[in-house]
Amino acid sequence: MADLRTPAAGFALHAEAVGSDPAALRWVCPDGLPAVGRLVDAPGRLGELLAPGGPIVQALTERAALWTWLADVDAGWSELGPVVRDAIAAAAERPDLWQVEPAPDEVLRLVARDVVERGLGEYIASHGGLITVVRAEGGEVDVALEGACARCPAAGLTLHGRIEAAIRLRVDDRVVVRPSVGRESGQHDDRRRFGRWSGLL
Amino acid sequence: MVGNPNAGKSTLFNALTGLNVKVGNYPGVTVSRHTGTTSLADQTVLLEDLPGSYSLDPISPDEELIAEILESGSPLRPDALLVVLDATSLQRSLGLLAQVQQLGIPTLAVLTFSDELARRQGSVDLTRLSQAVGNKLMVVTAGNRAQLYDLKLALTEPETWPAPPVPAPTEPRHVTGWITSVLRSAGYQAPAVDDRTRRLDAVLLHPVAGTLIFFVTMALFFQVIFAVAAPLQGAVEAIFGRLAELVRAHVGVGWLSGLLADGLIGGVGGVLVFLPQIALLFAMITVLEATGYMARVAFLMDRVMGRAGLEGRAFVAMLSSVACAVPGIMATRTLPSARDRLATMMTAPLMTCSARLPVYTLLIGLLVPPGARLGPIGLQGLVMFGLYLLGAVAAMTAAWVFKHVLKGKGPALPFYMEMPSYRMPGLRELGRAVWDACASFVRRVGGIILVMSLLIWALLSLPVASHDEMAAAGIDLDDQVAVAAFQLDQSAAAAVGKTIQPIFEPLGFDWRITVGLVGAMGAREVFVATISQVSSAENPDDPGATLAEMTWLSGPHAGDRLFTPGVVAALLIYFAFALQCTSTIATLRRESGSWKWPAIAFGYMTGLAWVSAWLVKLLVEALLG
Amino acid sequence: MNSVSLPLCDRCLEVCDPQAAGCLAMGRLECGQRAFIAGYREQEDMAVCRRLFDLGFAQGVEVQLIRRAPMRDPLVFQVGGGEMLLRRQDADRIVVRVV
Repeated sequence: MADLRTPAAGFALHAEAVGSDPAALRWVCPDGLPAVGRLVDAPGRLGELLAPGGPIVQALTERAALWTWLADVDAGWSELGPVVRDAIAAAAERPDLWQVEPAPDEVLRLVARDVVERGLGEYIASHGGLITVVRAEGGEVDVALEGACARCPAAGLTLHGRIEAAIRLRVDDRVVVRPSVGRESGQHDDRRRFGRWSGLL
Repeated sequence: MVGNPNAGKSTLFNALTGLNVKVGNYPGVTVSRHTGTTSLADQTVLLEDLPGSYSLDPISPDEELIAEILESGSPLRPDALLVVLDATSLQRSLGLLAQVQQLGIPTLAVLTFSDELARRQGSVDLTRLSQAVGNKLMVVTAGNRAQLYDLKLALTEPETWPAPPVPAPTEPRHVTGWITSVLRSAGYQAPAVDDRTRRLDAVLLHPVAGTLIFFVTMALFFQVIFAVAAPLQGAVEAIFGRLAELVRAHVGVGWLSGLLADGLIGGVGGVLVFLPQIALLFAMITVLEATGYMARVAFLMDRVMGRAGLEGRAFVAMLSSVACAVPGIMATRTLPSARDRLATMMTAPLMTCSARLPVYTLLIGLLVPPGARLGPIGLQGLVMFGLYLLGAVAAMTAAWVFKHVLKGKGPALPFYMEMPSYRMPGLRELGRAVWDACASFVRRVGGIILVMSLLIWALLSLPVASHDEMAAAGIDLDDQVAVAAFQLDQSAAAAVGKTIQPIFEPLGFDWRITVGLVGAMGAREVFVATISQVSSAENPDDPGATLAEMTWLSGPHAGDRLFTPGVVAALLIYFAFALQCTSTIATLRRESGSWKWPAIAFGYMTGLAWVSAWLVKLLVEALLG
Repeated sequence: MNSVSLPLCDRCLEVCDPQAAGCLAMGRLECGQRAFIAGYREQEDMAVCRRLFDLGFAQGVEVQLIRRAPMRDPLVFQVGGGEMLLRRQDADRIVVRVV
């Protein structure tokens, strides 16, 4: 957290849009959050927003980021955004009062798909490839390599070097990323099965 | 386009618009408006370069302009905004971006000086920065055409620019948090201290060496505008002189040839003769600004200028006015505070300008015998130096008065200024600055100067004395000098001179001197020529001798010597303080945006000149008994 | 005062007492000395302080006094990646805590 020698300059926090899901917002907190999992309750205004029936239907935490989903997708974040931001900054002053339930598989799935689609997605697409998350549970992530990636000699490096490192940084150091075996044709089934972000549970 | 003053915004604006730039005025204020167009294929984008700013928070009335333009519902509100961010000072520039995000206008962030960032061992991940900030982000480096092209392309489709999901906060604590988070997320490695600049500053701002270098630089600056400009100005005058001669030789009708030769050609020549000085001055100012040394000059001079209520940057404008007030007044554009700009503009003409020199030389010759010395120092030179000093002191004092008089217009801007890194100026930006200054001068001031010099020509040459009238007065038509003298005597200017003579009688000026003053309104040097004409000089090569012998023609002093020491001293002081330059008036009109300020300048300076001249005359007469 | 400027003028800055332990006015730093900005001195019109904030002199930021002009005024500070010139009276509006 903030250096005690220097007067606190305000909690480091900014919001990033999640392209594939307009109801979600990823709040980046470089100074780190108390725990990884589902945020059930927090001190102050944040707790009120998270309460059942409140404007935020779900919140998941990474090591240094907080995801929030709107209950009412059509309302958009323009009005609620600044309120949530102030609430998070205020709640960050009492990290001991954050109630985070473990939800390792969901967080893993969330972060894995974010890393592959948003973080590295452009880079991979620019090389003519496509990587999708097939399965994420129990600390293991299976990814399918398609397009140029399937034949790429650097695929192993990409998997372990970048994707795994990125996921480990954000979730847990013990995460393992593996290429999914024989899944090319079934890939579409899995996408249908796992559905879109907000339906994930 | 918005951005910090030193972020490279204007350079980018120039690169995007080329020469398709228009400089106008915002209604009701002294800030100039830079607009231009940039086009790609068949799409044209209108760009407006807003004044450089660190914040949209107007802490003085000067700054409310930008907030007024950006307000929703404002007729000047842009369709999109380009925010220019200096990569080497992102920690500060992001604050401005945070404020801009509140506006809800499509915004594109442009990162400049990324090469400078790399040079100083800094770095940033552009993709992650763009994602963190929420706006489209593009890099532009000086000279990189591909990047410029990409930017132009992006400008044609602002509807495709992403908007941040949540605008950045503006509360101070939250903004610093936002900036910290964004920079960490983007892997921003802050640049190391600019070693080169530090080492240079250690020398250039050294208490002894630095001050010495400063004086040498200023002396050089000064010399260039005086000595280097002079032959160029002479060349311009010679060219127009030849043209005028040709016209006089070939145009038969007397008054028409006079109108064309003296009025029109003389007038145009009178405008263009300023160009060498303006070009040189702005070339040097641009070099000073671009290298970064100008900030150091302001740093060294701020304490002194602060005594007069001005700031360090006003020094260059004042110094330039020692050559000529016209470019000096134009140089006040570098001052961000409207009050400072006005105070400097209104008092810069008090600095001893080069046009006063011929008059001073003539009059000092009358007042002080050539060989006179005060100890080892020549007295004539000492008086000249004294007059320069007088001009400087008067200008500073008047500036102080003006700053306090203008106080009613709201709180003053505190003086602060970025000390930019030293860098080499490009030839292109140099050429651009010189061109802009000269073109804007000719376009905006030239017209007024031309009209006014035609007016003065008319006063001096009309009504035309016919041959019959001259014969009746007993003038020998072959005696050119006598004819000219008679013509002047019959002119409207003489009528004016005779009418206003009573005002100047207490100073000891007769109507011929006052006519000379009227003629001097066009250009101070003209006084010498006009006086010679009026006195129908027997010896045009030594007007001083003739002037010394002139006597009052009529009235209570008839027969007395005209140019007594008291009168000469009074005339010297009058010239020191009076605003007798229509070109200065024209420039004041353009730079201040209305006729009110030149009128006030004319009024107060004439008043000051009259009172001081009168007091000096009394003093000198009392001393000499 | 309009919709753009009003919210910005309403910004609150952290007020600090230069007499507090370990604190001093920024204008009193020695050449080469580093410090962190603790807050701003209390004054009636905080407009200048808001400008100083926008110039990069924000709470928690590190500053360093680089040089003073020959007659002790103005001052040059290293802040936020660049050098900024301030007059002594304006520098004194900021309260710093020495490293």
